[in-house]
Amino acid sequence: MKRLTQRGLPGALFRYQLMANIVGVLIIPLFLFTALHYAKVGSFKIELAIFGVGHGYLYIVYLIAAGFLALKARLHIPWIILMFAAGLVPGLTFVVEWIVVTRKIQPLIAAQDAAAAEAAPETPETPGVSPAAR
Amino acid sequence: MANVRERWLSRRAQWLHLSVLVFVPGCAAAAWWQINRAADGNQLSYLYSVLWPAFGLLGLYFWWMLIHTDYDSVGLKGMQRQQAAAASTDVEATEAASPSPGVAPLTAPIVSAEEDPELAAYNARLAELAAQGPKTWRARESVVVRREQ
Repeated sequence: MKRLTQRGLPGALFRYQLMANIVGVLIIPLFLFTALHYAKVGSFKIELAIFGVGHGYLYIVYLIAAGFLALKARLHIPWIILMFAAGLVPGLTFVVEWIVVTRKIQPLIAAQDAAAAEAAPETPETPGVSPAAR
Repeated sequence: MANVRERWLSRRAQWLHLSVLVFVPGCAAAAWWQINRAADGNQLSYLYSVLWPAFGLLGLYFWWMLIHTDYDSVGLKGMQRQQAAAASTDVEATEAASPSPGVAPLTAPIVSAEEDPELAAYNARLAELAAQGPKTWRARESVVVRREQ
């Protein structure tokens, strides 16, 4: 909960990862039921309504989270389009999230930490906060 | 004025304009399609006819934000560029070449003894405004975004 409302890049990263996982999970049953619907296995009207509308509205939240992360980290337009499109393809969400975080966000956080340590070397680390608890 | 032209007419900005010109009318068309379907009695379409305008507004918002985001000052490439500039030249030359608002040094106003105090205060205010950089409606970011503990 604390990470969810955190300001700055780590908070934006956490919100993006959370929404990517939610949307990535929701789109799999949506595509499954759509395929079954068009394969004439059954109507699946209620399932399609639940997952369709649920994914649709949570996708907006995902777009907001991804867009703010991209603005914070100064990602370029192809990356932003890739992140936005990933929420619409089953399975791709997890792959793109992993690529963006490892290639783009983690190097940026490391560089910012190095620059901050260089700027203020006398500042002691706050005890009790592990490096993983970003 | 060159700054404004760079912001709105650079290659990156042109791609942004093109994508927003495709995306927003597309969202409007999809919204109109869902509104018609809702009017025909498809109850699910009521929810989708709210969803599509929301997509369009989000597209407009991020278009504006991306146009107004300075990619040279913050971020991995901006930091690398500034580090390279700092390595090649001395500190004073770097600050003169790339005055980023977060790290801009406060220039102390030069007040001579015989100067009118009112005029001195006015000049100090002008110097302060000049040190702040151009007017912006966004929160200023420093190059190093400090992590909150």
